[in-house]
Formats: sequence, C-alpha cells, structure tokens
Amino acid sequence: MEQSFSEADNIELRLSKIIARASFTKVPADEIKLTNLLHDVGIDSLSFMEIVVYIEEEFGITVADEDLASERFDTVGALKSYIEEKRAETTADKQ
Amino acid sequence: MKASIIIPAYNQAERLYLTLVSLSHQTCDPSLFEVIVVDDGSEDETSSIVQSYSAQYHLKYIRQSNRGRAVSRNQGVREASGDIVIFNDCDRAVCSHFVEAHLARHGVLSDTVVVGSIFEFFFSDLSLRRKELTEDIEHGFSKFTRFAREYPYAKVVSDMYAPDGTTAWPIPWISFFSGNVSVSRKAFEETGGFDEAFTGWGFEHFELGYRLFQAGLQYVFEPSARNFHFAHRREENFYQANLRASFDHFKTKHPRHEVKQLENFIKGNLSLQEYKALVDDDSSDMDNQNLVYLPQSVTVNF
Repeated sequence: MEQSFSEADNIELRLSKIIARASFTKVPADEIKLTNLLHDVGIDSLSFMEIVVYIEEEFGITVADEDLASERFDTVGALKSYIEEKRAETTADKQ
Repeated sequence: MKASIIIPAYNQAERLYLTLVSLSHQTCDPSLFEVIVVDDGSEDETSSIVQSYSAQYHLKYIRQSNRGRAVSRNQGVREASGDIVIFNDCDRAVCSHFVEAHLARHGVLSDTVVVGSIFEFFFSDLSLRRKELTEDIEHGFSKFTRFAREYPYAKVVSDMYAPDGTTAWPIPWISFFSGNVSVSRKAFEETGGFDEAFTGWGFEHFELGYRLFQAGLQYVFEPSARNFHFAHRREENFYQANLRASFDHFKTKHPRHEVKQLENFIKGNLSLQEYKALVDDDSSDMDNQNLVYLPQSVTVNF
C-alpha cells in the first residue's frame, strides 16, 4: 500500500508485483506467469483475500463478494481477465 | 452509564494485543469502561501479554481451564460491573468511536441489543505488519482501515435495518454477532446468558440473540461501532463438524421454523427476503423484491 507501482498501464506486471508481495513462497514477480495456478505461486485463501484488497486499490475496481467463489480465480490469467473486465465496466460507467 | 467489554481469549496473543491497544485509543473517556479478558486456557503468550500490558482503562484478567467461549463470556459478565456489556472477540481491533457508539444507543430502559459492524483485515503475515498496525492504531487508525472489507455475512443481514438503525424484521437475531454486540448486563443476566451446553464453535451467539429477541428487546444496528477482524488461515472443514452439532442443539432447544430455516439461509439456499416471508407467513411483498443470498465465500455446508 505504501509502495508506489509503475504508472504504465501494464496490468500483468502490476498484478505480478502484488502477488509477489503476498506470496508465502516469496516467488519473485518476474517469475510469475499467466498460466500459473495461484496456489503454485504461494497464494492460499488468506493471501488471496490480501491480494484482492491490493487489486481494488491498485486498479480502482471493486471486487464483489459474489465474485469471490474460489474456483473462478484459479490462475493468474483468470485474475488479469477479471481486472480488465472490471476496468472496462468502470470506464464505461464514467462515460 | 458504564460499559464492560468482555473478551474471551484462546491462543490469539498477537491479535489480542492489537485489540487491547485499540481500546486504549477511544474517543470515550477511559473511566467510562473496563475491559475483562477471560483466558480460556491459552497455551501461548496470552497471559504474559495481558498482564504486562499498560492500559489506559481498567483491565481485568481472568484465567480458566479450557471450557469454551460460552462459559468464558458468562464468566466475564460475572466479573463485570458495567451497566452495559459489550462482547468483542480477542482477534478484532476496534475503531476509535467503538465504545462511545455502543453506549450512545443504549437508553435508560435496558431494552436494546446494539449490533456493531464487522470488517476484516487480510494479512497473510500479521507479525510483519504488527509494528505499522500498532502505530496506525495509536494515531487515529485510519491508514489500514481503508483497506478493510465488510464481512459479507454482516453486509447481507444489515439489509434488515432502516437507515436510522431500527428494524421491524421478525429475525433480527440472525445479526447477533458475539464478536461485536452490546446489551444491558441486566437483560443478559435475566435471559440467562450464553448457553454453556454449546462447547464447540457455532451457533451460541444466535441462540442467545434469539432468546433476547423473544424477551422483547429491540435490535438496533450501529454501523459506526466498527471493529476489524484479523482473518485467520483456518481450513473451512474446521467449522463443519462443530456446526452440525451446534445447530442441532439450537434447533432442539427451540423447535420453531424460524430457527430451522436458519440452516437454509446459511447454506445459501434461502434468500434473506424469502426467509422473512417464510417467518411472517406472508409472500405478498415478494414480486418486486431483489432477492439477496449469502455469497458463496461465506456459505457453509454442515
């Protein structure tokens, strides 16, 4: 939260940094791939909620409780898609 | 009017410490409340942390052998001298308005149950954040609290309450969370307190809430009485075995359909609105209703 992320709109990079911060296996951000299962990069149910909070702040979106069913966000790629979807919605709402 | 904050504690020394710090930074004068920690046979540093903590308020520490949360809370109330008892769990830091907000909703009639709002912190490594958290709590507690999420169950049931916090719903007791609720000590004692036959984790709080409601107390929701649960790395299955036995005890003790239907609501099969309609025996309102179900992240199968 107190760290400043890059201004560039690189969702994958920013998401990897968030995951790296919460990972209990301390996996470095540059080793995280879209195809990785969250569990394989050191994210369990508690650290998952931790990254949800960081994601909301970093990307300016709201993750609804209804969207938090565990099977939906199994991979890093699934999270990235969700962020893109929500950002498009937020932008559309503003127009 | 004075408050006694009852905190049952079991093996949560680090979280309990943060809870105690948060109680030292209240808007309310410390002479208006006391804190009673009932150590339910902890095997960690709970005892030394509480006994070495320098509180701004009167802090009482009681230790017993491990007998469960219902027994712990009842014991805490026996030691209490306040007019109002506030139940706060050992793993939740409170906002600076917490005590003041609870006290303000109790009138002279001793007939109110005040339900606070519950938020959650998700720190995968709490010990890493302890120093920052302590500092934030000591300086207004506004830095970290921005990142707390409202507990989904609490969010759903808060729909029962009007903007002024009152409710005319027939099932307000489903919002009775012993992690953040207050009632007059008199009403608690007259109703018999927590049922000590509940030994595992489960429904003892709803059952007391149910009895208080049956005794005619008014439920009020006070969102500014907010606390922040430090989420745990616990397995979901941990709860299930306890829940079944606990619910069956509740159902057997009060064989009413409003109690039986709680199971369907908690499993996510019954919306809040359908639950109300079933209890009121009145579905006339249902057509234009937005049906709200507990989200999957909080439903449990038992």
